[in-house]
Amino acid sequence: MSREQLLNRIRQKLKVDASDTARQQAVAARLSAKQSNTLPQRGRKSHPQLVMDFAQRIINAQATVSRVKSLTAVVAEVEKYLSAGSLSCPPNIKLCINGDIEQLALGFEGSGLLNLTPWRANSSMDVCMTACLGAVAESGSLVVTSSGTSAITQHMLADIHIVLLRAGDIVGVFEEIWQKLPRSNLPRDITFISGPSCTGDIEMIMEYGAHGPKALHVIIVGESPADYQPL
Amino acid sequence: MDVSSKEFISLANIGLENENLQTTMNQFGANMISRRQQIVQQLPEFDQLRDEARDIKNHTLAHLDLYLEKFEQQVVANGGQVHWASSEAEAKRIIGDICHAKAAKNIIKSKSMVTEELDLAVFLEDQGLETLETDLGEYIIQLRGERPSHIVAPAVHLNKDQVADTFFKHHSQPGDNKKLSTRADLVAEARQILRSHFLAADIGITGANFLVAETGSIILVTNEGNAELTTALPETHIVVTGIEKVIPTLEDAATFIRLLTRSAVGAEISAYTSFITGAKRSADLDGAKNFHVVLVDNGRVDMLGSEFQPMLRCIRCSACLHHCPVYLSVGGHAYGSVYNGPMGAVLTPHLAGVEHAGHLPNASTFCGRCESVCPVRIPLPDLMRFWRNQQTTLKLDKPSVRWALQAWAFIVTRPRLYKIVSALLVRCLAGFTKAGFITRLPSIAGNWTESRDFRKPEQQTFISRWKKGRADV
Repeated sequence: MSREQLLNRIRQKLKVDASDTARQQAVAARLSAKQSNTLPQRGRKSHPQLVMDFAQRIINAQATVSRVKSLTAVVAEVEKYLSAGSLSCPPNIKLCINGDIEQLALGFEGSGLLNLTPWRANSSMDVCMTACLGAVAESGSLVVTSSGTSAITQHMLADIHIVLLRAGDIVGVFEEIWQKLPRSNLPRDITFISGPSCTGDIEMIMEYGAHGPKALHVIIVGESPADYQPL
Repeated sequence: MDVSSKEFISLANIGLENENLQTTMNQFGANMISRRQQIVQQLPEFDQLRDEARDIKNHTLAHLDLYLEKFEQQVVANGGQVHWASSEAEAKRIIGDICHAKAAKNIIKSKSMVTEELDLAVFLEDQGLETLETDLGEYIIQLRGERPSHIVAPAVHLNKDQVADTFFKHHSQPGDNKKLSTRADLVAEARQILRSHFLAADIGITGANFLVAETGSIILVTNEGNAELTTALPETHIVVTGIEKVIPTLEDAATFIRLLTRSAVGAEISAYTSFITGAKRSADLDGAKNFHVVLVDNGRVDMLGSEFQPMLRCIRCSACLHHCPVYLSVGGHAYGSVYNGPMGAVLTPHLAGVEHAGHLPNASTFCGRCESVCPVRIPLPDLMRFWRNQQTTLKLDKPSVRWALQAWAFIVTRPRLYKIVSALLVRCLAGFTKAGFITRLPSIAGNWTESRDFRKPEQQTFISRWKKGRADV
């Protein structure tokens, strides 16, 4: 009832007719063109430069970043990060890895320092490690999505969040992320993460660990692809 | 929408006399203006993006019926439901019905200005549904029973000690006698308390910063991550949003994201920006199974095709608040409305009725800074001027003000008379001058000198000096 009334009132106020095909065509054309608006130059650089820009921007937002050459070096890097003095993590710290990471069979089971724990959304998790769809250099954002192997809560509930990012998945501008996704069948949740959870709600001074992770660590794996073409 | 905007003058005085608030707002204003300036300088395309954003909104509003239909179609295709609410009462009924049908016990909310407009949390509480705000600022003011004083930073009027007092009053157990003293401890305490509510909640309510017609996605922008938890943990997610939030495509969304946080808080992006599209997919590990979008009109349709259509472009960034000398002096509560600052001075008279808006359209120096920073280029001063005219036409202002304005108009449109009167005034004012300043005037002019002095006027009027020769002027 209200739906038709509301739509009719909109048409009345706009002084347009529901059967006006020119309007319908204008909207259909706008939707199917998927035309980009102005793209910032800062996101249209060589790939190695974009990787550096991404890292610098997310570091500016209080995340930490490390780079490794290949997947085989990831477990050692996680051990190194978690045993670093600044975190003062207890030995045998509980680490949860999500399905995306599990599939990569990185060899966490062999680690003497880390205690692999199954994911439970109802308990307090120390550390959760997840993968991501990619990252955007222009804003320093990781892009994570929900699926059968990646829960959004796995990116949000642990005190420390570690994200594995392949260098080749870093792009310049937001619009390039849309090209990596099935537009007609998007995941339920696509979240751009640009730093640890924070709040400026008390006296406009940032405090970290509001509702989500208190610390965010990004491990960038591999080299820039040689054939990258900025949008 | 209940407003107390008619009390503007007394509420503004409360703000002006509140030393805590004055200190807070002085720092806040300077801080936000310089942060925005710095971040905008780092994006040379910023002004071009503003033009494009204005044009995208204009195009969408001109085809609003069609974009809303497309949005609805996509939400349904992704397993969600769309509800259409013409009025505040209808929106509340729809949301209440969904909560009751789910036998909800615990509702968590992520910050949303539309739900503030509807006073939704109070309505749900009255229905026996426990509703908790999870944005830290909103949580603080909910505990205090206050309204937001800012559309992005709702508790900006409070300092750390006031928050500590509030938390002590509401969180302390018998035997506790020590208040928290650091911001970090206050944030940690709120995190711990709200985490258990997140995990227990059966319904999550959010607003939406944008709706994407092409995909049926809603966009949520937060720093805290509370919106992500609100939409991923409970079984049911209700989005409450204004019909004007729709934009065509994901490309358009990228443009608006570039503008929103830069304008709002002087940051390149927020910690979390989420695109939520429909209900949990069968293979997904988390996410709300029931996804509802309530599209709220509540006076917005009436703005279409009127002088106020440009106001529907507003993305609620708060740049106009940060750049308004009046807002920064009196604070958000003076406006007596959930929408404050220049955007509130335009929106409140429309949503609540111009007869209830009191002095809001006058709460401006017309310096024009609001318009100059608006990311979608809304002509805010023009719209406030329209309301001033309306108030005079409808005889809503005081008769004495109207008569004074009529007398002014009579004089100013008659050059000879104006010359005589202004020359006379200049001479009269000279009589009240002490040491180059006028500090006290008699009768109604005393209202001005009560709180401010001004320099003695020049001994000649502009016109007489102009006549003597340009070089002298």
